[in-house]
Amino acid sequence: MENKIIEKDFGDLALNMGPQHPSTHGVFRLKLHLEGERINHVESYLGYLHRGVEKLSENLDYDMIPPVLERDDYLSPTSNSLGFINTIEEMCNIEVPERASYLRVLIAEMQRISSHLVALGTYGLDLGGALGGGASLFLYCFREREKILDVLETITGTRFHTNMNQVGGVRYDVNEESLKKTHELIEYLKPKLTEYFDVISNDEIFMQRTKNIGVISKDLVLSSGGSGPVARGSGINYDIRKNNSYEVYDNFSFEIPMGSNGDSYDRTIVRMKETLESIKIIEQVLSSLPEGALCSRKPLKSAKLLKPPKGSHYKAIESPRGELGFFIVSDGSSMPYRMKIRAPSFSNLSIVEKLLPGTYIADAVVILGSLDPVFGDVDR
Amino acid sequence: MGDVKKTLKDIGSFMKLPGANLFITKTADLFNWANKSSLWPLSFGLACCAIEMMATFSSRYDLDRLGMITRASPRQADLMIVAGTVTVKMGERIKTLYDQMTGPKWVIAAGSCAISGDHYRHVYSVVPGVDWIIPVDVYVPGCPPTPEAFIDGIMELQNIISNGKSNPTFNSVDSERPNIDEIKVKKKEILFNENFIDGLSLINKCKEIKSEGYDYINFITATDFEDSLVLTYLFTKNNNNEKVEINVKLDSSKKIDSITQIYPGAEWQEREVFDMFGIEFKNHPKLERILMPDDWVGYPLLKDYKMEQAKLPYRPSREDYESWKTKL
Repeated sequence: MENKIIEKDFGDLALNMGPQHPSTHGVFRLKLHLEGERINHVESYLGYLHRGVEKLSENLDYDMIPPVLERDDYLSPTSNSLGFINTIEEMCNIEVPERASYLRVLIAEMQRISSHLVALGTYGLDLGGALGGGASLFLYCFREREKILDVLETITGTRFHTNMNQVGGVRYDVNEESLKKTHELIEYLKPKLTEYFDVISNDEIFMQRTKNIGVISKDLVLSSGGSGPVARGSGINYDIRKNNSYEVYDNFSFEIPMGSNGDSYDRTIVRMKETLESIKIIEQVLSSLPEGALCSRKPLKSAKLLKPPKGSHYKAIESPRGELGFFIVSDGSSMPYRMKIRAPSFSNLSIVEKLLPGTYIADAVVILGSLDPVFGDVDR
Repeated sequence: MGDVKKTLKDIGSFMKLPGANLFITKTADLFNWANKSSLWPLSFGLACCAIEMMATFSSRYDLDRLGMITRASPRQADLMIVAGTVTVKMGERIKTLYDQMTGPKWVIAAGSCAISGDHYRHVYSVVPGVDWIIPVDVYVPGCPPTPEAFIDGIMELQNIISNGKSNPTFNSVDSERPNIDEIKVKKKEILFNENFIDGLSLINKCKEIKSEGYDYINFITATDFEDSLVLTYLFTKNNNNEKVEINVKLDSSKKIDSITQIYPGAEWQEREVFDMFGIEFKNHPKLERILMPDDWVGYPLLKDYKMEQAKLPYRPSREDYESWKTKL
């Protein structure tokens, strides 16, 4: 018998991924055009979680908006309301008491750690068997995250949609008990996070899966508007906490971890180092927490009374995902005329279409996970 | 085996015979017992509630002890936990996923968004409750529900299954969403103080500022004013954090040159503006809707677009639902 090898060009194989795929970190659909195992080109579809927050905000009073915004980037809800409230405070020239500002930083940094822990844990799942069955990293990260949520619950009464910030200050104060718990949390987290950092940054399998995978050049980051760990992983020193400081970040000493190659490994390492820096910030907040009022405004009789002056204003803060900005156009009434949310995940995710072609399909998940998109933030 | 024996005692009786043990029960009870003890949920999440669902599945709360293992394929799953806001675009997918699941199947609507739409209820793109699309067995309230609430909901579902009295709720009101009167939004005159540049000179201006070092694009957006749409571009000089804002007044043709040639990252931003305002960008590589479904009518962020002006997904009629129930 003669052995015949039949070769035929079947063209592209279009493979659908999502929107309910667990590795897309939410509702995101990728149409991968494959040639063998290589990705030829990618079409991405989003908007599966578009909840019309910008339109909704045009129908809400300024004081009613922060709780809605907290549902946007649901891994770090405080940054959303913090960004919005910072914008309003700059528009109306509202002073914030120092203690309130310290407490805002405390909650925001705690959520930064918890957000990065979720990113790392789900990244472990994405990498599959690479890290001890994948699920173990996920379980460890969620174990530590629960501890953070416990402290947040003690301080604010909710697990992660804290609703801590309000225009002019904060809603909840810390007391001896919650401060003690925070201290204990920091003492608990420090060795754990260092341990995970040591284990992962030197793990041979992890390095092989992520090093030189999904390399983002500086130019691509800049022209796409990438920010946060995505930009810093590529060696761009862009952290709004330092560059254009808000709240009381000036008072604290911390470093901005940077990568150099811009690959998935660097982005993950930047995130992990950032959690350690956040712990430094929390320690400084706890050691120098000033006494004073919680809010500079008197309780309003009606939400309609807060009316920023006419004009537009843009202000951005550093959320765990990057530059989270609010562009607000006010017509002098109690509701915004137009509010644009500059979502960091949206800009970061737009890189994916340019990054995936030419890579293997197994790496698509690695690259997507390393960008750490949150779809409430992408779709708004 | 001790635990299994204990739970089996609820549905039948053991008999000791010489040389063997005999267990007598009804098949229906036995199957219900098996079903409730091995609920396999479909692992997909929509929004914030999905994070709490993940927390429920992981270390501290550990749903595995209730016999729950997530399945990534709907063919292997018999429980769908709808955790998060259901949008019109996702609603069709949820219906498909639900149809792909093999019966008997159950649905838990977790969180106020999945139950009623919550504060997004009146927004154009949101389905006011997942029970508009698929029948729901258990509602778990909360925004988001705590893991304890999740576990409570799942145990409630187990009770329902073991009683054999599944009676899912389905929002069968046939009329479409009523159009309530909305606050009349009056268009305002232009509120910016900044200088405007001409739409035709936009490309040159962008080239100019890029050569000055403004290589970082923050965002592109538009605002709907009384006499014209105003486009706003924001760029940052990265090394010293300086920002430059460019405003362009559009004429009634709503067309402008795309800047994707100069800033490739503007692609998605421009698509979003097109999606929300209907502004056409000339020479854009792929000018399609990005957030809304392709067949959507209207541009949501225009001022004369009502927030509630929604196109809702296909809803099964009451008859479809009744026939579905008898088939089960």
